[in-house]
Amino acid sequence: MSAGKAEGAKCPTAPVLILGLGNELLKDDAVGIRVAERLQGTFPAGVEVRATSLFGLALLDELIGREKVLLIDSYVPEEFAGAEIQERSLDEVGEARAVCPHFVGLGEVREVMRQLGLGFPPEVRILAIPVSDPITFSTEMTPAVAARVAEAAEFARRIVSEWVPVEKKLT
Amino acid sequence: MAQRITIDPITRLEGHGKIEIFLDDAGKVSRAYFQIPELRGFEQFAVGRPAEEMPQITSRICGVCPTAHHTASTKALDDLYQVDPPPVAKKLRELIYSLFMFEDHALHFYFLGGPDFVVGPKAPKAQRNILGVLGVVGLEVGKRVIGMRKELRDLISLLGGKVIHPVFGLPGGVAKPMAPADQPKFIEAAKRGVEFALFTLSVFDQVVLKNKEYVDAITSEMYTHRTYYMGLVDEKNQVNFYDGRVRVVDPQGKEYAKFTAREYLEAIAEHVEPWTYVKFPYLKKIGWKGFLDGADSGIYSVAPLARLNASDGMATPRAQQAYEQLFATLGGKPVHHTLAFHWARIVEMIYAAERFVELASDPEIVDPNVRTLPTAIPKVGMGVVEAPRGTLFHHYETDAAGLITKANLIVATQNNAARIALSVDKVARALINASTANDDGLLNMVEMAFRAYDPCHACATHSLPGSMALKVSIRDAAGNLLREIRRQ
Repeated sequence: MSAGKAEGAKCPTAPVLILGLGNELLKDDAVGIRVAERLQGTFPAGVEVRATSLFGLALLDELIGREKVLLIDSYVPEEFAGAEIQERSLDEVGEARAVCPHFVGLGEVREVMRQLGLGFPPEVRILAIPVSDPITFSTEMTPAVAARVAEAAEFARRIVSEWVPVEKKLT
Repeated sequence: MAQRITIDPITRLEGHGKIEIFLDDAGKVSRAYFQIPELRGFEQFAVGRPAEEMPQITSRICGVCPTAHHTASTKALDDLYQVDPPPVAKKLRELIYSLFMFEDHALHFYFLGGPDFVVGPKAPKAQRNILGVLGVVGLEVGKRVIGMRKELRDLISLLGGKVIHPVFGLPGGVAKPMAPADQPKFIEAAKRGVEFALFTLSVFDQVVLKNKEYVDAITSEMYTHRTYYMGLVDEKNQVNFYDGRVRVVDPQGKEYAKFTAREYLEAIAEHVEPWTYVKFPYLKKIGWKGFLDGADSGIYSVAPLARLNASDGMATPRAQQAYEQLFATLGGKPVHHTLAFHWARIVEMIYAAERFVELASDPEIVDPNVRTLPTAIPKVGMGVVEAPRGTLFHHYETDAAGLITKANLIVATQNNAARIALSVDKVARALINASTANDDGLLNMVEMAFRAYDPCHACATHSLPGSMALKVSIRDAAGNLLREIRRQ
């Protein structure tokens, strides 16, 4: 059986990853995926845009071997009206203390990768988009959330432009 | 007299779990309520969709165990179209399912079971985190788990085309056969899985069973409930994850009921409480008697320990040995101690690996005849499997064109909802009063009450943070907030 890659090993895939996280069946929880879809094909070689609805330790598969990662995800604010699209730090995601698979988040994934020498990306940034309802089954987002996909995509491009040259603005 | 307090379930759309604890006039707990964000509106969502899409759609319900929903849905379609898959198709489905159960249980034990399972409930906060077991057995074992996981996922993609949401189950069979050239890979991986599962049992024996303090924690009354137990069994009443009949035993371990997926509505009803959107399944003929233990209460439990309790044994030899060891150590059947769920998970891991070997080694597994085309007019279909966290039911009704007119799911955690509520309430009553100190220890003990069940609700969402934030509110008899403890 093979172990994961050691830290500092050569990247087998694109060094920069933009990963939209979400569930397309759960109304506003699709927003991370929709933003990733909007960003597809707009970056030069070396930047990969993907989306996933997998969760927990399955995120290992996406992160191993990357140098820089932008995660696009949703958050539920105390008050949805007026809530901002935000960049969050990895430390804000929380300490690694989940004790069952359904409570595993990025903090836990980071801890696993670091302790096992699997090469957690040296730079991970998080773009958090405020949502109203991530728990109702629907393929249609709340209109106010859907209306912010373009704004979130531009926010993401500004972050990535700090890593690689990014040309024209999205139309 | 304590006033009657109303909890508005509409305020639960907050993306985190809540425990509301109400004290009486004497400052003791009168009631504790556990609420987590529940997924809503599935039936409305499903209406009008082609039933054949449901295995793909429902596999997206849960980001941790998509294979469980995919398989339950596929079986519901078999029933909907009244089609019997050829033997090799059933074996392939069960092979993938065994592989999935093995991987899921392994991840749970090594990466997540530590704090409650190995380190123990009194351990300091700094030790209660992921990699708790690996901290004891060494990180090389962790790398082995990750490597094994990758290997198993590569095997899934051989059969399903891709690892993430594979196109695999179809009404009447599966999408593609196993190529003869691939069979040795499955056999070798399966054999390594058995070896690793047995190694896991030895780890458990060394780290847990030889630690009297931990065994005492498992058997403590605070984490014990005497309920009915439910699980799928084969014709010999042995545990089966993929198929069989649903068996229920009473708190003394005597068979109470056995039914097919089609009969689930005759056996199970759902109780509604005003403080949550979750419905609480219970045994219909016994009735809903409130949040109570015992033979007179219709509350039942599912998931690893419940499956072992509801069965007469395991269908594979090494798993059977482990099964016997568990019950001999804990005083016979049935075992009512919630923390023993973690131990039962290891027994099942051994069974999943051994079953994987059996199926992968079966000469029939490479038969290319993997599907019987359905020809019947669809109407009603029900399917059941054992998900890692319990019995999972899918129920579809359609028009003659196969478009869904009605759909219902009873997910694993929902079956455990009432017992989880009992667990949280019991721990709260034991630990909390108006002057309880030590927020961290309190929070940990309350969390232990429900995380043995690994509740699966809003796990499917990705709203930050990934870990479920938890808020515990302690209120006086008038509903005034006395203390609030947050775990972000």
